[in-house]
Parts: sequence; C-alpha cells; structure tokens
Amino acid sequence: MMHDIRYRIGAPWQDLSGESDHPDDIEYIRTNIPCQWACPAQTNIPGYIEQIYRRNFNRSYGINRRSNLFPGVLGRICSRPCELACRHGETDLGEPVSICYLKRFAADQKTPDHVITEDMFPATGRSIGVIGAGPAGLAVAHSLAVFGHRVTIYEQMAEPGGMLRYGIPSFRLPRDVIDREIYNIVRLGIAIEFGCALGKDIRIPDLLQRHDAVVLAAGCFSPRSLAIPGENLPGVLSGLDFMIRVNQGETPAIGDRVIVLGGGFTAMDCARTARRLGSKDIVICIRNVEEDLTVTREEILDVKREGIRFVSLVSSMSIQGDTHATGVRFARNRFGGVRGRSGRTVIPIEGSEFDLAADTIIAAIGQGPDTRLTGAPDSDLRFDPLTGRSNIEGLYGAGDFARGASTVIESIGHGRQVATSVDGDLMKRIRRKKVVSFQPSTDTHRQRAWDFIPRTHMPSLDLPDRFASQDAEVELGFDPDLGLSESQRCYLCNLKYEIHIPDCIYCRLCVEACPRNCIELGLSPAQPPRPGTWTKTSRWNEVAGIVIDSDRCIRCGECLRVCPTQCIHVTRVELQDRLLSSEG
Amino acid sequence: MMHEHYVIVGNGVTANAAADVLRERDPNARITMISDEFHLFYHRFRLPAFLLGEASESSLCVRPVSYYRERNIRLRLGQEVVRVELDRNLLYLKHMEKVGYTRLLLALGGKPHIPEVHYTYRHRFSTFKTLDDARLLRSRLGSIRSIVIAGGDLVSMRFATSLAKTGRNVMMMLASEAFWPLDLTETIREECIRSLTAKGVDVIDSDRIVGIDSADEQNFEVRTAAGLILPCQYVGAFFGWRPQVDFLVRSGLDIDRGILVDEHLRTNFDSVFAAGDCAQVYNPGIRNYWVSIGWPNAERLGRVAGENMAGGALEAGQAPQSALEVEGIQACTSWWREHGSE
Repeated sequence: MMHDIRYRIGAPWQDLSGESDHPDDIEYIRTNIPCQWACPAQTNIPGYIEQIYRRNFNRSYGINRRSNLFPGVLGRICSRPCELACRHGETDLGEPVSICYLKRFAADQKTPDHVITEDMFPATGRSIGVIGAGPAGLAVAHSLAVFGHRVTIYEQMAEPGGMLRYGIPSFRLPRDVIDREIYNIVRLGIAIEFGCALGKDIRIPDLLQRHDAVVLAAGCFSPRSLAIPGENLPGVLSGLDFMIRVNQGETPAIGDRVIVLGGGFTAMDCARTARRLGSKDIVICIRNVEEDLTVTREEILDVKREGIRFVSLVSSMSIQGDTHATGVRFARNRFGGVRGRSGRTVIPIEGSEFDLAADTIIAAIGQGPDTRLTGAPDSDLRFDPLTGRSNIEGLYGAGDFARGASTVIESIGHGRQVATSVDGDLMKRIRRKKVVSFQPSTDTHRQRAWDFIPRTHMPSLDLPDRFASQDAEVELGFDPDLGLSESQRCYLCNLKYEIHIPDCIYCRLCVEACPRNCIELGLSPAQPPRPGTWTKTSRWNEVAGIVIDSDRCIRCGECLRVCPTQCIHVTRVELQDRLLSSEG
Repeated sequence: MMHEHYVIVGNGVTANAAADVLRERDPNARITMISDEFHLFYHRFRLPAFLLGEASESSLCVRPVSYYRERNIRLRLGQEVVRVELDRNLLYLKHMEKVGYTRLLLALGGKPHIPEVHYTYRHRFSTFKTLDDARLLRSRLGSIRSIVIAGGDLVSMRFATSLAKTGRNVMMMLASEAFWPLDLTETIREECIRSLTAKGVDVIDSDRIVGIDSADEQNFEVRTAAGLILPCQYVGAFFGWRPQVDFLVRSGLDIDRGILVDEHLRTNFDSVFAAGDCAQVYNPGIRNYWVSIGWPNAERLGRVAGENMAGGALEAGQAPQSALEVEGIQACTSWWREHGSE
C-alpha cells in the first residue's frame, strides 16, 4: 500500500511503514538526502555507509551494486557528485564524507564467499541488441536481463568495458576489478559478440530485424578537434587515442617534454600516463583556472605530486613545427565575467602570445559520439534524453552516445533509465519504479564526537613506486580502521527524526540538546509542519506545535536520547527501486 | 549621512599603506583592519635578526596601537575571516560574527608553499614566515646543530647565512620552484651558489629531497634523490609562498594562483579590491598578470588600492623591474626586500 509521507507526522508511528511515490515525498528525498539525489544512479549512500559502520561489508556492497553495478570500479574513478552535495560539507559542518572511497572500502572488504543475488523476472522471450559494452551498454544489458529479456551486446573492441578499460589507465583502475564486476553482469546470460564495429560489421537496420529492440550505447570515441593551425602535424595526439593505445599495451614514443591541452579526467590521465612513459617535463594547459576544473581536488593533488605542472588561463592558438610538432603558441586569457554552466568565459588577450616547446602535444579537450556510424545523417537521429527513445521505432540511445560525453556514473544511471523505458515499451507496462520507502527505525547510537572526525584521505603509493610500472595502483584503499572511522562521519541523512506532538510535554530538553538549533516551536501544528510553512514563536503560552527541521538536522540523535516521554521517533526514509510483478 | 565602511583584511605593509591613504582621503569613514595574527604590524625582514637575538621583539614593531587610535582605525587582531558573501558585502569571522562593508580590500599576503611532491612528509618541514614561527624556532635553537634548508627564496638565504655565522652546519638545497613567479636561471643559480658557499653554507646542487624520516620529531634524516642522507634537527621549507586565498575559493571571486584584479586593483566585484602578494594584477603593458613581490611594491600597491577605494582611478603600474635586486645575493624572489639595507 502506498502512503503519503506528508500525512504521517502526528500519526502513531507503528503505522508509518510503507511506500510512497507522491511528489512531495520524492521532494523530501531531494532536499534531505542530497547525496543520493546527486548520484545519477541514485545509489542509497547512507544505506551502504551505515552497513559499513555496522561491519556488514557484503550487504554494503550489495546495496551499492543494486544501483550502480560497479562498486569496485566506481569506488576508484567516480566523479563523486554525491560528495559535492554531502551535508557534512556545508558551511560550518566540515568536509564531505569520503563517499567514493567508502564504496571501494566495502568492495575491498567484502568476503570472498559473498553471493550476489538478483531479483530476476521470468523469461519474456524478447530479444534485445545492445551496441557497446561500455558502462552504459552494460547497465542497459544488466537491467534488461533482469527483466527477463534475452540480451546480446555487440562490441567493437576485443574486451568489454569501453571507456573503463580503454580510456582509464590501469594505475587508477586495475583490470581485475573491471573483469570481476563485468563478469557479475554478463553471467546473467548476456551474450557478447566482440569485434563488431558499427557501420562495418553490423548495421542498425539488420539488428532491428534481428531483435525486438536495439539500444545504441556506443559511447563517445570521436575526439573533438582543436581547430587551430598545425593540429594534424605528427606529434599531436588525441588524448583518447593516446589512452587507448597505452591501454592496449603500446608504449608510444612521446619524448621528454609533453604538453597536455585540456582539464578533464582524460587530460589528467594522459599527463600521468606520460609521466609513467618516462616524460620529464609535463605541463597541463587549461583555459581557465584550477578552481573551475571538474576533476576532483584529490586528482589535482596527485597530478601535482607526480611533478606535473599546470599552466592556467591560456588558450592554444597554433601548433608550431614544419614536419613535426615542436610546441604550442598560446595566448593568455582573462575572465570575461560571464558565468555559465561550463564555468566562466575566458577571453584571449590580444598580443599576449607566447610559445611553449614540446616533443608531443596531447589534445584532451573532449570527444563526441560518431553518429555517422549509424548510417543516418546527423539530423535524422534524435534521442529523448530521459527515455532514450529515438525517432526510429525500436531504436534507443543510452549513455554518452545519446547525451554527449559524461561521466561513468552518469552513463550507468542513464543506461538503467533507458532499460526501464525499453522494458516498458516491450511489455506495455512499467515494471520498475522509484518509490520512497519508510520504515520505523531505532537510535543509531551515533555519537556527536563523530561529527568532528576529520575527513579521511586516501593512502597512496610512494612516488618512486608509482612509476615502477604502468599498472601499479596508486590509491591503496582504506585499511579497516580508516574505513570504519570514515563511515562514522556520515550523518545518515536517510533517518528522519520526528516529534510525535501529542506525546510531547514541551520540556525543551531536546531544544537545549540540539547542537544545530533545528527544533522549532510554532503557533500551530500546520500541515505539513515544516519550518518555513508555519509561524515560529518563542512565547510559551502560544506554542501549539514543535517540529524538527529535517533540512538542518544532522541526525545526531541527541534529542532522542534526552526526551523523557520518548515522543521522538526515527523513520528510515529511502529512495528505492521497486520491481513490480505482473500483478503490480 | 551614511559613511563608508572600509574593511581591510590583512595587517601587513599593503594593508597599512591602504589604511593610511583611506584615512587621508576620507576623514569620516569607518576603517576596520582584520588580521588573523595577534601581533601588531611588524618588520618581517628583521625576523632572522630576532631569531639570533640581534633584535628584540619590540624593535620588530612598525606601528604602536596608538597609531591606529589616533587615526580612528579599528584594528581587530587574532580574528580570522573564514567565509565571504561578496554579493551581500559580508565577511564571516571564525567566531561566526558577520562584518559588513561598503568597500573591501583583500591584502591577505601569502603562506609558505610546500610543493605537492613533498606531500607525504610535509608535516616534517618547518616554515619561517611569522613572528610565531620565529619565536618557536628561537626557543629550539639551542638544540639545533644541523639545518637543512630546502628552497631558495630570499629569506632562506638570509636565514642560511645568518645561521652559518653561528657555527651551525647549514645545508641548502636549491629548488627552482621556490623562485616563482620568477625563473631560476643558470646565472642566478651560479650566483646564489657562489655567494652562499662564500658565507659558509653547504650548497647541495642538482639534487632533491625524496623523503624525510624522523624517529622522535626532534631529529630528522633528509633523503635525497642522489642517495644522500642528511641528519639534522631542522628542515626548513623555503619554497616561496602562495597567496593565502583558500577561503575565497568558490566565493565568486576570480582566482588563479592569487586573486585576479584589473590594473586598478579591482576584482570582479565592484566593491572588492585586492593588493599585495595575494593579488595577480593585470598589466596592460605586458598583457599579462603579474604578482607583486617585495616590500616597496607592496607598499605602493597598498597606496594605489587605498586611492582607488576612495574613488580614484590610479593604475598599479608596471611589473617590478628589479625583482632580483638583493644585496649580496642576486636572487630576491621572496615576499620582502631588505628594506633596512637599502
């Protein structure tokens, strides 16, 4: 039975368990569990961190995997939008929880006998082709296999993983971690045909004939052009091509001096890979400043630790050299003052040109999908950004191919979303939906002192050991003490502390115990009794209601412990996937 | 009538020069100076002399409290600005007090920089920037026989030669990154080595630190890439410094290494100015940003900032021509010049 969380406050708490898909309840999740909402795969972050804190590492891994499929992979390379949203990072509350590293910690600590369970649907007899075995393609394939469809992936490379395997260096993401987690996906009966290049070995019309639906998840493998003179000279490499070559076992001769153009994860990977190939003087040149980069602070620190320099506020104007690139001519930039989604506008300063010499120039300024491979003119193929449906019946697009270059976690989240819409179209009903579940909970025994534990940083290899081989993993992972201590920092925002007003004697003990002034007194028990929707008062003869501001509450539990009438209840509120059976 | 409230964050030479100008231009304005240090404005370049007992603590002080009282300048020492809301003209101090302003000058100075390659043992480096650093080292000096100095800014050279004179074993490892924003050219390097060696400093050239071990936090062993192990009781980080702008990140201010300002020292917020070592000043002449170094430059920029905050339109001027002028050692890249010796 679906409930509406809005009406739960004031009711006997034993009756509060249930689920809801009411927009207000979804909104509650958005504002109160910001980490989960920020995650494109909507991973139940407080849920899995709580399991770490309770030392249930297998369960923690399972919660993670349910949403994002690749906890071990993402625990190493995720772009961490959750950490930017973490409430612990709000002003005056310290630094965000190391959510990503905890994900890896759970993956590292789970026991070898851990069994992954899947909520499989019965076989439907439908067949689906997925083009691309990257993160989006694998996410689509996994969900569709769970729905009971027969899935075949067509992959152009020799091994699955897409960008995970060919775009990310092994010193950041060991190959055995990729292999293990991909195996756990394809073991559901998913077939992969390797060496199938779209437009060459396979064609979309043929696949549409062969399958009930086809999902294009071919990623973004078409490098963006620098569009400056000299960009085609020998010695100028595309960042992605460079990474693919190295990840396939090549050791390109790049010389001592390398200039990397671009400021994303690929640029950082190229620079660090060049360092491991023996280059001595590596410079990353960015148009804006470090503050604007989308890579994590930890990544920037690691890049600098490896002796790589940044040159900020420069625009490349031309590649120098006659028969081979010898350097780059730059102009200095200044900010134009306009701020947009992609950061601040920079304007090259006329007459400010200067040259930097290099043996190799690596352009890592992004990539796009190669839509020519589909055989349709660009303008003919369009994808709905949410459902992935295209203007061709039975053809869907997922991940970077449909939405442009993004992150691994975004691709996975989108892949799962598209799978739901493919399944819905084939089966003529929705069989997986997001619901807010709420269950009575008890005090978590969090201690206020845990709020002051500093953020744990990732132990890493000493510099000389890093360069011993391309494969030496730099980040070492948390040991049990570090991981458990970091897990204690999480506020567990999935818990909702509520005062049952009829039982409250207004003793004010909770108000005084509260470290964040988030318990408010009001003139009336308004519905919904949320701060901002009622009139606050400090005059006792007027008080008619008391409420905990969940937006500010840091779930320390102090109010619960001091309450003499036990009128404060804890509810676990979580956004979950609900698989609907044929009766549902 | 509403008076201006000028707030100056900082209490160094730039901040004080700006405060002087603002008081001259606007006798009725409120002027507040906020500094996280507890000490009155002091001569940083005399710290080595203070360390060796050649100068008293009181002689370091540039201006007494009465100076500020007489000029009706409110001096708030030991108070750290931790957050800003520049679109609301608000500063937040560490103790949660909000301070409003009509015009703000950020004269934050810098903090000692320890390059990221030394990240894992960075806590074993000591720095020598503030009076508190000097006091601490002075209290330990009796037990220090050997010193390793990494870097190469001006203060390290003054520091090294002063300590060498006392008979201590001083080893210095020049690091090119310490010379930012200038380049350590071969000429400068040779000049530094010759001058330092002549003054009894053991210069270790073309080598770099790869680790610092310590058994008791009093005695250290510095490991170098060439395989040297240098036992010592003090490892000084003199890699120059970086603008102290951490709390301004994501504030909306344009920041690169320092706060980016135009030729009038104005930031991308109309009412906010920045000057001194924390600012990267746009220079139309060289079509680039430059960073002020040295006491005279800092003082001049402070005066320019003060004039412009009071409504003027002075230009910060050319990049310093004589950044490398230092008596004896031709490598001034530090945050002051030997003011007293000029």
